[in-house]
Amino acid sequence: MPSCLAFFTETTKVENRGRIGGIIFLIVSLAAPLLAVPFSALSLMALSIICTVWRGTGLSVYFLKPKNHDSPKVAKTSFVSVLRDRPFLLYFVAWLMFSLVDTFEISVVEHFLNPELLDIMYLIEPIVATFFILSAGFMCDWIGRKKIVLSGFVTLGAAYAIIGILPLSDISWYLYFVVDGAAWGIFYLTFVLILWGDLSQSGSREKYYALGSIPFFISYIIPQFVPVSFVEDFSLYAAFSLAALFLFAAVMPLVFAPETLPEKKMELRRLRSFAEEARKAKENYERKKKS
Amino acid sequence: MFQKFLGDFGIDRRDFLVVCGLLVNAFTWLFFLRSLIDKIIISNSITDESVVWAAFYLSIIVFSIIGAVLSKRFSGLKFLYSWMALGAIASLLPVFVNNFTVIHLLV
Repeated sequence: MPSCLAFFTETTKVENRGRIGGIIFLIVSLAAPLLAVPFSALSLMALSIICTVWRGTGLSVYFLKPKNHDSPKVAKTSFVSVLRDRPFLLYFVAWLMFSLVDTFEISVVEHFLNPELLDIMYLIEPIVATFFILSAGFMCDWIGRKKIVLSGFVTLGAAYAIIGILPLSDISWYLYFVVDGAAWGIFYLTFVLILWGDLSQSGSREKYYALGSIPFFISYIIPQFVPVSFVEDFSLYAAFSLAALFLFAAVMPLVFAPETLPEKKMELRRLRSFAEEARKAKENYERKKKS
Repeated sequence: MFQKFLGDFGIDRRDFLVVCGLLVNAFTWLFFLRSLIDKIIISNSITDESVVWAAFYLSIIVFSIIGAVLSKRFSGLKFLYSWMALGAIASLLPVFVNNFTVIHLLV
């Protein structure tokens, strides 16, 4: 996985990485359930063969003769030096805190929510996340990665605060489903695909991606070991208020984190857009003048 | 039109297809693997489900790190191709194994 992600970074320009990543992850989000759900009904052997064939089809990219985006040789980067990289650490801590808080809250939600609302959650969240993956990709290139990530944290914190205050109201739960799905869409794209590529240098990308994806997988491991008795002991009010507090704490490292999209690139895009609008206004004016 | 659309994004069609193919294949394969492991858990009546899932995700983390270290020792895309071939072969293992342990699932 880190090598695939590093190859993505080598192939894309920093100012377009969000949009291209958004499109690719949109395809992934649509294709994965569409392909995996029908096949899950098959027998173990059939599924195993399909898995093999599917992974094998990945090798077909060889026939597209991909260009080797081999980077110039740079000094060797160790995992320790990646962890000592301040911007990496700041984003990593925020991502880790989100993963821990959100997965713990999911355990609480799954325990307390009635099955009907739970089904709605499993339906709404992936749909909202898929939509937000694409829009977050475009926004990442337009206004920068940091602002998008910050807005994700702030809205999610607000949603937790609302269900912390009104956990028995269905409306607050619907709001939470939408915001949680949106946050996952934003964070999935930025923290899995974009940020580590932006922060890393050629030659060290795999290590950034390998370390940066740890919280994503930890978010699947933690719920396996959260005992039911522990969840039962928690009051809903306390669980969500604490979540809001921890998410607020997670924003703190982000405040000190640098923007990974160069300011120059954002300015250039704004200028281009402004020039385009001016050209259109001029054309409109000339058309009106003629008529 | 597709080329013009991609041209705006500063990537040519071939590069986009390669990157898209690699990532879509890798992430959807992860979904397939989850279904596969689910099937193994059900068919073998494994009771420690949480241990299996934890082992699965932990192995992803460990092998991501190993892969990141090894990738520097191979030139270009050779490593990626061999890693993918290895994944394809590993996916076939359940066909040959009847009795599963957590170690089998880790592989």
